[in-house]
Amino acid sequence: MSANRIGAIIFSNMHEKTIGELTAMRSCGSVPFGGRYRLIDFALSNMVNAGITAIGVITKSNYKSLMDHLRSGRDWDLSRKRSGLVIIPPYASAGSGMYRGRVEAMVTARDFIQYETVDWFVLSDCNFVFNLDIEELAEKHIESGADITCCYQKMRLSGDGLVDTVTYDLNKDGAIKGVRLDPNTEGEYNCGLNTMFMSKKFLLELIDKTQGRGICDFEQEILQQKVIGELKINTYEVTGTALRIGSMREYYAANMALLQKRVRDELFNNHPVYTKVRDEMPASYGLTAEISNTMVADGCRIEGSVSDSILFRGVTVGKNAKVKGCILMQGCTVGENADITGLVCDKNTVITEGRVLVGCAENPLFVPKNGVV
Amino acid sequence: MMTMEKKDCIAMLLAGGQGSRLHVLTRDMAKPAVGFGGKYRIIDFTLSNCVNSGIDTVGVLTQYQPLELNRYIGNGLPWDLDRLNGGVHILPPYQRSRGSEWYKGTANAIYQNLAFIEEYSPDNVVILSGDHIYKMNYAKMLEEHIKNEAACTIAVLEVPIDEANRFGIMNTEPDGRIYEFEEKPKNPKSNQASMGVYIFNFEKLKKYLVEDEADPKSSNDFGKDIIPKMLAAKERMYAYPFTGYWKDVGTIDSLWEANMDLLNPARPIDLSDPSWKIYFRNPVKPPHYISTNSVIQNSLVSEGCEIAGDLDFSVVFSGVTIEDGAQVFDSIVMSGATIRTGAQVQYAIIGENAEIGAASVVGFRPECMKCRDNWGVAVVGPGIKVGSGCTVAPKAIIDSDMKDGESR
Repeated sequence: MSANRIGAIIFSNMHEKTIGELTAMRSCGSVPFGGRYRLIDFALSNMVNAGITAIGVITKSNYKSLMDHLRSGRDWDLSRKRSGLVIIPPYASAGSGMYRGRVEAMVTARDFIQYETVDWFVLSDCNFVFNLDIEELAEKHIESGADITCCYQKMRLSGDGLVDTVTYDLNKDGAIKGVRLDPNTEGEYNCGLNTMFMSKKFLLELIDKTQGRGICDFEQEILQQKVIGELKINTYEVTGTALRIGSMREYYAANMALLQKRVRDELFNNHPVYTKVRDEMPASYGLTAEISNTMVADGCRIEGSVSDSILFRGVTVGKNAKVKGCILMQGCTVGENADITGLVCDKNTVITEGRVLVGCAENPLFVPKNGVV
Repeated sequence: MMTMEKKDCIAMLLAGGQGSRLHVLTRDMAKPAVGFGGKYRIIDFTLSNCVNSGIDTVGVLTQYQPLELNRYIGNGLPWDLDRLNGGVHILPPYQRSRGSEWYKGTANAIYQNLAFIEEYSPDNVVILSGDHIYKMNYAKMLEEHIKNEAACTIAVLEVPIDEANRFGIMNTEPDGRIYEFEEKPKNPKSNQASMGVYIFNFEKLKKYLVEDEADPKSSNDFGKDIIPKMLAAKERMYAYPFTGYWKDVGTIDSLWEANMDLLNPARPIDLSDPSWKIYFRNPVKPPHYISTNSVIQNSLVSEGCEIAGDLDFSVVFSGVTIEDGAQVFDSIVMSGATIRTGAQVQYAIIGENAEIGAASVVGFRPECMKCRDNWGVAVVGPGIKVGSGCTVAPKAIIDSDMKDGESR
């Protein structure tokens, strides 16, 4: 199927409250991930790799960093005369305030959806990192004749204090027969990846039927309670790596998963993941550098010892400093003789000379943006 | 003809040279397209200098093996040279109604593209070559050029006097005015060497290029013909002194040395300066990964590499794989190359997408050689496959695949 017939909507703000520390100043889509990416890069790249050129990004609040990241969309080859990347700013009708959920958010995108000359739409959030073959998803959807096709992966969930988690009970033929939100017992679930496919016609009907009826939660009201009636909802199983970012602990684990070769191969081989280009020089290792099991982005300057960590672009690690099990975002500096373990440092954090800080994988210690410790 | 908006100054970048002294590295690409410093191509330095100096219109003159260079430059986007008015233009030789010819020399290449320059009606034209590594603000040189009301300004670099005989030497009055130019003089009078960076008043340049073209005895070269003729005619010509890092990377040894200069802790050339970035076409790769057993020191490593072996004093380009137990010392490994397990690479340049088989030995340390005269940097050409257990001698240049156990 020609990708020219598919358009896309990205919800850049959904699920922000699950990683509140990281989204204090930014949207979910612009949360840094994997050494040089933002979460939205994975959804965008899935779309671009499927040849989709009409992509609307729905925003809500704190979207300055997202705008800085996306700019005209040219780093994703989406700066186009026809379609391309369209940022859809929040819209609030008089008196009603900001939109509340996915369904209301789609109202802001109604014009974009209507005027793109495509037949189908793929809708995606930014809180899962995975590769998706959207062309195959489209084929499966059309074959099944479903109203909506939702992507899922079998995942083991702890059932302990889950929020914002959608799981599906399936028929033998893969259609959804029930939807469970935030299951509270441990077990294997068909965990929704917050990515779905439907026709443009159906999407517009959905928006029009729900608008003005006070419906705002797609998962709860439309899928679970069937507020607008019985729908045929099919599923598409994603079998490769899918990393869930539903808490600080999951954020930490998802980054650290990139230290496994299998995960890197599945996410990055044969499937370019595009991001904003920063023209940094290669990473440089000094005379006293010691490095082990670490992912390192360009522009880093390493003279100390680093292990089991993810270093974003332009991180500096001074002499005799020890960094273990840390995620250091763009522009962080670790001073000489500092010793840090289990930290997540947001952008441009400074760990001053000789500091000793310890967090752990279950509860990483977070240092906010521009923080000085 | 559509007239373009007038530009004060545009640049013409000579990128057609074969660079035959880089041997197998330039077999399939022009010298300016050869990789440098882990993620750059040689031409990135001149192109970035142009945009950082505020020049937004650049003609790139190509002739020898232009495919790779054309593909790399593309629409000029990585250098912000995809412009509505101006931008980067690839200018190959072309056929005309009264016949066609290759670019006969540097001056002829510009002569054949006078129509391109005239579209922008510039007051001044910067002539550059695409095979040097340096960071230079051409805007400052242009200021001097305008202040001196010069017909031509030539950037010069002080070189050690005993090496001056390898360069074009400018002899100047105390105010910088050039009274004599000597190409590779036996007894140099000064140590001011031409860097191959010229700014010409466009009207003057045009006049001399047209006259030079009409002269059947001319070799149509800037250094040999245009500059001497302008001096003879008493044109106002000035030297512009440049202080800073500048390296001609026209030979295997100088290319290797210039890469090694980036590893010097004193950093003779800083590529991390945010106010003078060197731009490049990004390869779209994830950050590199260093595994548990690697020892990595004094090296530059680029995106997309998977490193399980050891690195010391090496420059590693994007997408390189260095397997467990492999050792790479004092070497340059270009994009996409693979060094198999247990291989030893020392004092070598490994070309793009080349593969060094398991337990092979490429190059050798000079201090371990009985006879230093036979020592030199070993080169494995782009895409060449060296089998397992092979030996590549120092100074060897490998331009065809090697079978397992073979020595060259």
